[in-house]
Amino acid sequence: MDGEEAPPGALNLADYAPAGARTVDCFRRIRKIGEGTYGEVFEAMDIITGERAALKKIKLDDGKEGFPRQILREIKLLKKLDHENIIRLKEIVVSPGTAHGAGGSDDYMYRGDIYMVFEYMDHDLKKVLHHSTPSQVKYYMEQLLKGLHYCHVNNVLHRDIKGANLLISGGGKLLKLADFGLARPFTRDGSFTNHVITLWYRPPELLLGATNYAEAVDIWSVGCIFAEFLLRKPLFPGRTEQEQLSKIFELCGFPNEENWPGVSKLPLYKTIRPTTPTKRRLRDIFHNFDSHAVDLIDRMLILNPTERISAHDALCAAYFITKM
Amino acid sequence: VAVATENSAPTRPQLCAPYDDEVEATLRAMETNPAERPSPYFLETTQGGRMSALVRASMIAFMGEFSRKNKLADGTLQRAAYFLDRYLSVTPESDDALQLRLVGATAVFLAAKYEDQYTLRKIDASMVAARCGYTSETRHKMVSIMETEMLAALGFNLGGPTAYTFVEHFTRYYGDGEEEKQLKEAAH
Repeated sequence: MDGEEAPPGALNLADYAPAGARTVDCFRRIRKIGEGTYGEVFEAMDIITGERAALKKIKLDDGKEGFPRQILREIKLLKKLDHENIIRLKEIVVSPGTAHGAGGSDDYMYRGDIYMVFEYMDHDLKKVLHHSTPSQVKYYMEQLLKGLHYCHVNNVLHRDIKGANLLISGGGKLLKLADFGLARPFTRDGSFTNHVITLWYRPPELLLGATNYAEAVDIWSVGCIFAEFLLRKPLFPGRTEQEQLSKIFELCGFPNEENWPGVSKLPLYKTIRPTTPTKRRLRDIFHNFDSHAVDLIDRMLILNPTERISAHDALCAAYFITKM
Repeated sequence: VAVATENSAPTRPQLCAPYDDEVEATLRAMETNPAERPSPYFLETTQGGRMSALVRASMIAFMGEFSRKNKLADGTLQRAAYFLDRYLSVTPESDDALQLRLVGATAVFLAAKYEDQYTLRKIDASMVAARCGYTSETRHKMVSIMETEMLAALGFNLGGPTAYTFVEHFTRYYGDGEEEKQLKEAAH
């Protein structure tokens, strides 16, 4: 926009910064870090400030959806969430030529690319999940729960907690929740899709087809990760939804109206066959570990979601109070 | 939209939300952030007098009809108007009617998707383009391109409070009775 003069008598608009996204030319690309659901991720450096950043390129297809609603949702949520254990969306930049005022005519069909600029993190939790010391585990778990508690207080479910979506930085000292592409705000009576959360970390209520779920879905995933830290291997590595359920029931017992009122009304309950044994024996596989840690895992991996511990209560558990 | 603003904190009942004052402070700070509000003089400055207040008003009317007809989510029109004013604050437009409809309808489409994730059950980019008067098979691309252009112009700051946000905020302790509903609608 050209700096046209304000009419006489009007306020001085010099401080009115014409808003607008910067272009990706403000960054120097260093290397490709990975491939996300919505496109490639690059490590890059802000040419002006020298700050490192992660640039996530948004795939824009030519479909009738237009700008993807999932990205709009992620932008909306990340702007709302401001916490040291949640990834910060610094800005969004566009490819040169997309800048406003450039197009508009019928024959101008160049749409441009869009990049979400995140703070740079060294690696994800997957890398350290199978070889962390007990004190590191406690440190990561505390930060994970703090970030998650903040989300839940703000009525946001993450819905895809897994190693690859938990990012580590600061020499392994700092953990942040990332990838809110599946996250969504929740209401008490909302009805959601049940095809969220990577299979291994998916809670039984989703596997049984529940569409009305809450914060407890994230806690189940946290419990699976906690257990994986101790065991140094995945707790429930199912290959199909059916097998995922069997693996869960094998350790957590078979759900019935007694231990989980309402479970028999879930859409897929009738399709499952009880396996033997049906008694809960989750604690048996952890007999060599810190009992406070096992107590907490036990309360996170309760079949009935309404009895599962909350992020807040988990942070108050003996496990976090006792010194290593 | 006229809303009582002298709602000082100590006298207002705090029924359930301990963060009320914080919420209001944040809303007010966002409202005054130059990057997140329209220029008050964009008709004279950015548009250089080419667009009259009347043209803007007819765009809003067109947008209102478009969102009502498609039963788009509450708050869509107000957010679309907020997008429109901010877009027009930084982007000179011609007086081409087709182009102005595209700008207005795209603002509505973006605002609707922002407010409600099920918007695509009601409208898609192709329908938006059709409403503007585009007829080609690939008309939805016009909308997609305009969306990107508009998002870039807004710097992707989409969440600022709108007239709707403030009315909701100031009337949050009202019941759901007919009278309250009418009052809210009048304020919007």
